[in-house]
Amino acid sequence: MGVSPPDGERVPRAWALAAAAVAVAALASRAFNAFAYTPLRGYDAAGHAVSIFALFEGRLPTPGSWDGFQPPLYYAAAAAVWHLLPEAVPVHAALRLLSAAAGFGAVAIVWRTLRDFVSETDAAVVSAFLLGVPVLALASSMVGNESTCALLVTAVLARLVRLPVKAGEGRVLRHAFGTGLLGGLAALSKTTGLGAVALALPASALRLRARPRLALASVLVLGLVPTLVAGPFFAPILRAAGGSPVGLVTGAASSRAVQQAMALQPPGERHLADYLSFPSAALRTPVFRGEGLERSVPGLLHASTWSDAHAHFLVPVTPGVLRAESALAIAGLLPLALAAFGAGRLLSRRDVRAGVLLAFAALLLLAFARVTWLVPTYSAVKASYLLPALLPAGLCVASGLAALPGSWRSAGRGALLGIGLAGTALTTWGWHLWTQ
Amino acid sequence: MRRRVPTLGGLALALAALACGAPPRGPVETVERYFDVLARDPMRTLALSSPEFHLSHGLAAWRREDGSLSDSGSSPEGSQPPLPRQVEIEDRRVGWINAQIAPHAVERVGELRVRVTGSEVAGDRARVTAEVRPLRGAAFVQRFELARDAGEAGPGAPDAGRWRIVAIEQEGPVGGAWGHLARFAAYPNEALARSLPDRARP
Repeated sequence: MGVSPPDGERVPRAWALAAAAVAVAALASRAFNAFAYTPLRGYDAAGHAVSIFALFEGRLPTPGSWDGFQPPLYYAAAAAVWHLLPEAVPVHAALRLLSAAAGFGAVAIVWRTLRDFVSETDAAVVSAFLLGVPVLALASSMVGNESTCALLVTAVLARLVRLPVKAGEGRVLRHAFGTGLLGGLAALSKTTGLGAVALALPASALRLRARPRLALASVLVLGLVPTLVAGPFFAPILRAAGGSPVGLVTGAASSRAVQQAMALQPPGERHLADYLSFPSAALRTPVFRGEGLERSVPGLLHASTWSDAHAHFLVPVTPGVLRAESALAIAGLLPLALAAFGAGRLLSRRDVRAGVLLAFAALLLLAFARVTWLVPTYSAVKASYLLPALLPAGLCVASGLAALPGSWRSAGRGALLGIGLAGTALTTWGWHLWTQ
Repeated sequence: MRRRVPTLGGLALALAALACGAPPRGPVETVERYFDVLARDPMRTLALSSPEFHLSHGLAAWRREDGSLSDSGSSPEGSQPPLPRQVEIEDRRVGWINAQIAPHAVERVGELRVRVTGSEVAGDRARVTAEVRPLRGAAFVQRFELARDAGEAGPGAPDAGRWRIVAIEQEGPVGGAWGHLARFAAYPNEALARSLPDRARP
């Protein structure tokens, strides 16, 4: 029937099979979408394409160009894939498959890590659910560095959770080296990865606090390795942005074309109320044109988690699409409530491993709030920017699910798998054709 | 030739073609390849076109919601200094990609029938002429100027020595709105973009 998880529960075969079926549906959807979505639809896909082409030709992306502020690891990987491709295969389709592989890799790490906290059943259910959440489904169906960064950051976080605090010095330092290397690669794939590096230092020190000398050595390794790996690539980007650190997270600081595009995009300025409002349009019409959504940060964040809020793929002119997006946005309140409940439960337990993950999520949310304040446009409010927090989000949902009693827990599992499947259906190209 | 836009059958076709294809070699093959990948595989058009080409089509990296041009290369107010050449080329490439994936352009490209009618090569320069017949609208002639270049990353670059499109011109009657769309689909450029109906603009 299965193996015994930490809490002694045996894995019910039916839930494992249901979770596997939802995961397989997501996999099939990604493979289909890679070829079926309109070429290069997606967040800044044209800018990414031009940067990939630069690496394809053997040069670095040009600072000051549309996506020239982005670090080059994803572009280098994409260019390598392009070089290996037969001429008959569309480049964007192969690169979407690369994004899909990264997205599935990230969720695989989430699945493995969750098993340290909750039962195997809940870990499998939550992981399968995550694969269908539209923000991940779309990010892993497009050309871009979002899912690659999510994969590498998730790998760093998982290593921090599994830090062998009682092992010999050599093993701990080798572990720190591996984590630092992954952190450097995360930062090289997207600047958000710097958050994982920033968290790794205090997290490692905290977890090794009983061995101060080893903790110091670990922190040094964790600081030095990413600096050596990623540092040289950030210097020219900072120069192009006139030394502004904002230039590391948005092209608006270095690209005139991006500046002009952003200058005309609403809302144009931010107020504190933008962070406190949650218009009903986030549930009724979850696209950026919905009433009040261009301004509401939580509203557009929710909408872009559960629908194609920026209307790149599922053009909401078809009533059936908008209704389906609305239904999913409403259904999304359930996992949100589970996650809030689970986060509270984790905080009350004072588990340092969970605390590290929650601290990263908080750090990312703060950085997100800061960036949306500095770049007051609706296109800066995308839930995909928070994908590196996939593991903390999964842990919160799983913890909330695990706390439900008896039949409620079964209902919660069923609901999560149903929502995951609905998300996969919604984001599969062509779906709108039979909803008219 | 007649190309397919991404459809439900696109997946099967692309998978079936996995083992086929080779890099373009001569100027005629380069032009044929251009029509083959245009809008269907937009990234590959970048490898078929030179920096000069992108400075000539005039497409900007983005445009306002009313479809009007926003040209980051030459500020209409004249208040900003000109962009570095490489930045301008990259911005034009972004505009070129965006123009290809405009919904109406994608649909029209699938309706073009193309026949190469002539070519001449002189050293590292070449001219290729193609006749383009759209499903709706008048047929027209599209002339390509090509050059064999050293590659942007230098003579040792993987792309060095390839034929690349330097410029494109179109001749013949336009034939109304459908004619404009067909011409834009065959050669996305700013001059045609300005004359397209609002919904068809990139």
